Amino acid sequence: MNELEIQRGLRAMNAPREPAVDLWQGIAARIAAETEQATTDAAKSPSRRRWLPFALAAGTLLAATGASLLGLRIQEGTGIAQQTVPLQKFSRITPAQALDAARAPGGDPRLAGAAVVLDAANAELQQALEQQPDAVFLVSLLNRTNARRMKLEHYGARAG
Amino acid sequence: MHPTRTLLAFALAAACAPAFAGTPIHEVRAANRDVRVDVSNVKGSVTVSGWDKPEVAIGGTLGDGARKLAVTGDASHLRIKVEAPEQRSWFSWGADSRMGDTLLDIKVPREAEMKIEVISADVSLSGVAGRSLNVESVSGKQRIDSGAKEVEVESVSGDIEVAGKADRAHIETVSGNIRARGLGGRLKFETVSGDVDAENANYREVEAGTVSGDIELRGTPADGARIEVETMSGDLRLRLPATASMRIKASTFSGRIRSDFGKVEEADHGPGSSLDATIGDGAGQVRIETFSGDVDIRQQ
Repeated sequence: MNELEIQRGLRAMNAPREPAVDLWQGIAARIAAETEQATTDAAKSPSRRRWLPFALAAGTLLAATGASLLGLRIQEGTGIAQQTVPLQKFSRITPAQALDAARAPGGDPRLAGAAVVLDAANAELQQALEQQPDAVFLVSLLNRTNARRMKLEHYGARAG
Repeated sequence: MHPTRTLLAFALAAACAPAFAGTPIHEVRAANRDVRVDVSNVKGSVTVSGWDKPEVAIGGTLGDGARKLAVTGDASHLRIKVEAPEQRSWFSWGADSRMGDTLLDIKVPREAEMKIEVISADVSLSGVAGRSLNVESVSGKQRIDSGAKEVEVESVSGDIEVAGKADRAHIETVSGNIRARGLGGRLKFETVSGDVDAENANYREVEAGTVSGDIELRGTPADGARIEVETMSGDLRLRLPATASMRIKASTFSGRIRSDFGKVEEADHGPGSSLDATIGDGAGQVRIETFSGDVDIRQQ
């Protein structure tokens, strides 16, 4: 190749060239799909039924606590016998359930379920606020939820 | 044991016992037309009805284990309280479990002002139209039909049913459901996970807020009425009459909006939608905001 042919080749390279395959369409589609998936997942995350397991745990604990406090008086035949339920019967209480018990305002199991509902609502509102930080109405709902939690503690303080 | 000694033992036991199962209650007190009556009962029920006599009559039965029924105060302010076995606190899980249900049936002058506090007792009230009505409950159900001008009803987990002609009503629960009928004036419904179902007449203002509870609002708004609804994941169903005059603004971050009025704007990418519509002259205002709850606005 002489110098003239080299110069002609260089001149031909000094021009816009379309790639053989348009990569951008694929990249854009993947970005859009990932964004949509992330948004959908984020939107679905604060499902209202999410605290159902917590409520079930609280209900189980409530029954267990109530039964232990009452000593489970069991009627047998014509007489009434008091039977103490062995402690190992309740040894399946999970740490989460124990936490729920500790959360019962004033130690009253009648208030434990509401405490679980309020704490779950608080957590979900905070998650929602992370996704929509400019939502003033979510702050308003969070404030109301916290006020209800305070009121529940007030009830607990009045319980003996 | 000798029969005389046995009889004496029974008589002594009867004299010492503070209360027996189902001990009948019959108390009557003179009362002013607009007497304020405070009622407190932990478990059982409280039934209140209005009458035309200038007195308060208390019937029913005192629950097994309750210490006594205390009735104090005078014709202008009467206090009726079921005292639990232990008086260290207002209510106690241990003491309450050992106490039977107390059923209170109370008749008061129609214009009496009522304040009722219960824990698990159900409350039923009708025919009373005093200046104000205030009911607080933890888990008891409440059925209120009151002509009181100001109504304040709250519960933790108990359901609430309210009907009446209040000028101002504030109904609030954590997980209990709210059902309101016929209320007008300024209304406020708040729950965390409980549902709200309200059919109101000639209301000037409705504020409803839940975290996950669903809301359904129906009825006829007054001219220039204002409706504000906020939920996180709870759905809203709003029914408006065709003759309503409203400016509607609704938005949801990731829920869906459907409306018989105006055109719903969907986000170009991702979920979320908004609505800005005017019905009639747009004299009233509707503002709806949800995070993931769906919004359904229909002509009723």
